[in-house]
Amino acid sequence: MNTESGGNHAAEGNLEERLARGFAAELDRAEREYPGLRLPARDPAENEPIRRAWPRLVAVPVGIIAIVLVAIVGSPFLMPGAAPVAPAPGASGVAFGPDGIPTEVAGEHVYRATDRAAFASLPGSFLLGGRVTKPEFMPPCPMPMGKSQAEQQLVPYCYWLSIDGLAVAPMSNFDEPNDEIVVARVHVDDPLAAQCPIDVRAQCGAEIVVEFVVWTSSPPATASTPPGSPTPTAGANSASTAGTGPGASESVGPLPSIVPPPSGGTIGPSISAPSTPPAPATPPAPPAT
Amino acid sequence: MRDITATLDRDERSKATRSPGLAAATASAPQWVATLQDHGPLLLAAARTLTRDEAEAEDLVQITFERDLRAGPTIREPRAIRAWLLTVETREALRVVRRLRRTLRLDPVVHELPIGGPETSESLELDEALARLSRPIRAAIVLHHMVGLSVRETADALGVKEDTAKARLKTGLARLREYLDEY
Repeated sequence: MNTESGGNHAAEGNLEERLARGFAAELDRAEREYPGLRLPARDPAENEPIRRAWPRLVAVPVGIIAIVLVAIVGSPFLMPGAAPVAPAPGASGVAFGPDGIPTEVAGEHVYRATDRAAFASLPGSFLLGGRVTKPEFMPPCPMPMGKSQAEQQLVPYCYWLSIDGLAVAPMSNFDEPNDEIVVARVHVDDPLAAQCPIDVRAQCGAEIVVEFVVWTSSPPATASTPPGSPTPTAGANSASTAGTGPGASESVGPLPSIVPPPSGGTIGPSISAPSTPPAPATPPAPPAT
Repeated sequence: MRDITATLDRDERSKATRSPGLAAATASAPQWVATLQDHGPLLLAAARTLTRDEAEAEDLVQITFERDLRAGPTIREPRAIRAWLLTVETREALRVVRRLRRTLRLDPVVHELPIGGPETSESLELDEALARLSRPIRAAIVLHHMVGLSVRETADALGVKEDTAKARLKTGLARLREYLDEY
């Protein structure tokens, strides 16, 4: 076609003719096929990403570098123990009252036995705190005669555990040592009460069912207390920060043991089998002298 | 092709809605589309020769039309229109990103040979010789020796100086002769 590119025209003539013939054939083919050619529909906006390809190619390494920098700079804060991390106030904190019984656990109010009128009509579960009392001698109980299964599980009939004198239902998941301060998640108006006879149904509904123990004044039997660490007992509330619970309360630094809720933390109203390991019923043997 | 025209018409309408002044400028868009369509076979043939990939060739023609439609009917002279279209198509074909994408394609590329051209063996030889050229040099050969653009138009289409275009043409012809002599 064109021969103006210079050079040896005679030598290139044959080649150029071949090129021209080749393209002429290609053009013929295109003219034949073009009318029936249906190019795929394409949104004009699809071309824009092609233009933005280079910024994207630049953005990817820049992003990677930024992530690496953030990881390097932030690693002292991300690695546990590498930097002091201020505890979230109230996240798992326990605020105590003057009598050593918690008034608030993890920001949730702890009711007392004396608040029965207040929590008697509470829907759902709530925290109840107080000192555990159980009988010194637990005699074998006679078979309950004429009592329904629901009544046997809800109404104490032989002997009972109590929190600050408030008896808890026999079906409670509760087996703490005597004379220990505990905070337990409890509920009233258990659905099982609907199966109680009509004459005791109100009593069944009023019984306190312990779901699980949230906090105890002594560490669990399996936990080891480091030597020299303060023992969180009722009288050891030496911290002087202002409490957050109702009444005059104090917050303490080292937290006593908080027993995690069994099986995921949320427990329905009807619990029949204890899932926390029972604490030893007998006190530890005195050291040999 | 009707699909792309409809898409582009819709795009132009949306552009005109956004910019009232643009509406007057694109008033003759249908005529411009017809003009572009007239050059469709030429663009398709050039794209096939240049890319040696049917799918990429069709894609190139489509993109060329889209870009030229966006540019608007500002070119009147037919030869200038042809050179402009080929320039857009060639520059798109030579884009680094497009070449990179093509390189990364895993499916085999099949280049069909035209039927009814020169002898089949000659077509095969020329096709294989062209395939061995680098894409910039092949583009120069296609635009100048096959499509018929002048050296200056070829240089403009390639975005290089005229001397560079001449050098590429000279190199291309030399290599083609060399490759064809091997057969």
